Amino acid sequence: MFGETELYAALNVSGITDLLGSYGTGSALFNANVIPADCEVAATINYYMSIPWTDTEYQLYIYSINCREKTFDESVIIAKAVIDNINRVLYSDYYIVCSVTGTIEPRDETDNFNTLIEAKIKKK
Amino acid sequence: MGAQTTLTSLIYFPDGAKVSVKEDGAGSYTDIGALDGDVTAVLEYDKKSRFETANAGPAGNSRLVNMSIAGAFNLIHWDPANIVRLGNGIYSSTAVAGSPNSLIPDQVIAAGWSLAARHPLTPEQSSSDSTKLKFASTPVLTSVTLDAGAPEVLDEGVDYVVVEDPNTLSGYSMVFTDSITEGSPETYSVTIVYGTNTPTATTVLTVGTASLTMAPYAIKIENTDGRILEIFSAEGESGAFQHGFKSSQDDGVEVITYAFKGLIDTDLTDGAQLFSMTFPA
Repeated sequence: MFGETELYAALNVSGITDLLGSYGTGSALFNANVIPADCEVAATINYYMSIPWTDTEYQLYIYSINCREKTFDESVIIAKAVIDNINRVLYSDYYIVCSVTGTIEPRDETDNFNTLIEAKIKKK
Repeated sequence: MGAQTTLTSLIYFPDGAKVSVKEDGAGSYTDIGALDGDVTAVLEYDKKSRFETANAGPAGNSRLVNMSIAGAFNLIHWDPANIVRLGNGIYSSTAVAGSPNSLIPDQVIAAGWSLAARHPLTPEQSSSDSTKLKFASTPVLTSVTLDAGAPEVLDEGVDYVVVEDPNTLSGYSMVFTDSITEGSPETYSVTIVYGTNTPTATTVLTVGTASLTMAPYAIKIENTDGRILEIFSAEGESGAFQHGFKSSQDDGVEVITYAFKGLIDTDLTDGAQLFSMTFPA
């Protein structure tokens, strides 16, 4: 709901997940504000709705996609893969347009670089 | 209260548009390239007032005449050939030949190409300079080879043809035929070895005459979602071309702001003399 299913379908493609670590039986791709505590890989994506949603005749969901990795370059590579695979793509009844808002450095030695993408999901 | 209607299936999401133009005498449309911002087209007409009777108020319906459609876009792909296409005969173009170049590196068309499709020729200045070249005339090719297990040298006019292609930077494309001996040739790459060719060094557009009869063009605005707006006969307005040189403080890229107007073409069927709009099924 609220675009989560649509965004997951868009992100869960090999062009993106091949760059991510494993978690459980799948890839480290999370619809959550934080990475699960038991996730031990560095290459992850977590995404969450970042702007309030208002019901209109068509739906607009705005998500923050966090592309995390050990190094700056690797974090950007994941973000680039996201842009290449989902930006300005028209799906069955929704459309996604993205913008890259920058890379945040780790706050300490336990943290990773995080390249942020804002994704707008427009849905009929 | 919830949504007032459930009719949402024909909502379209904005994603820009491709503008193509078919200049006077041309047989097909040419994509004019990258645009910045919106493409607009507004239907306009002169509306005649309802007949005012002397003692019974207005009578009859309003009439409209002089239908036209006014459009505009910002062109950021500065191809002189397309500026000429949009110019209604105002611009003349002259290619100033460069120097003969014998260092054009080989080009490889990757496996997976298609028979009867156009594959752009993409010559570069040299192996250390990737500046793309535009051919002043039909290119000289030393050899074209199908990179099969046993390489097959392809013959021009038999296995392939080189065609003029205004949709490519070089001005030419290669089309392969089914005369190639090797089975399933599309599964192999093709290596093109260029001979000495003289590229176009500059293109000069000139303008200026005391009087000119404008040659209209057809223009098409379309989106990959299937919507197509086709205007049958259009001209640039006075001030149509704004050739800009932005300052270093400006954002974005250099842009040609262009405005046009589509006019009634009385040679066409009445009721379809101005434009058409196509919607996907």
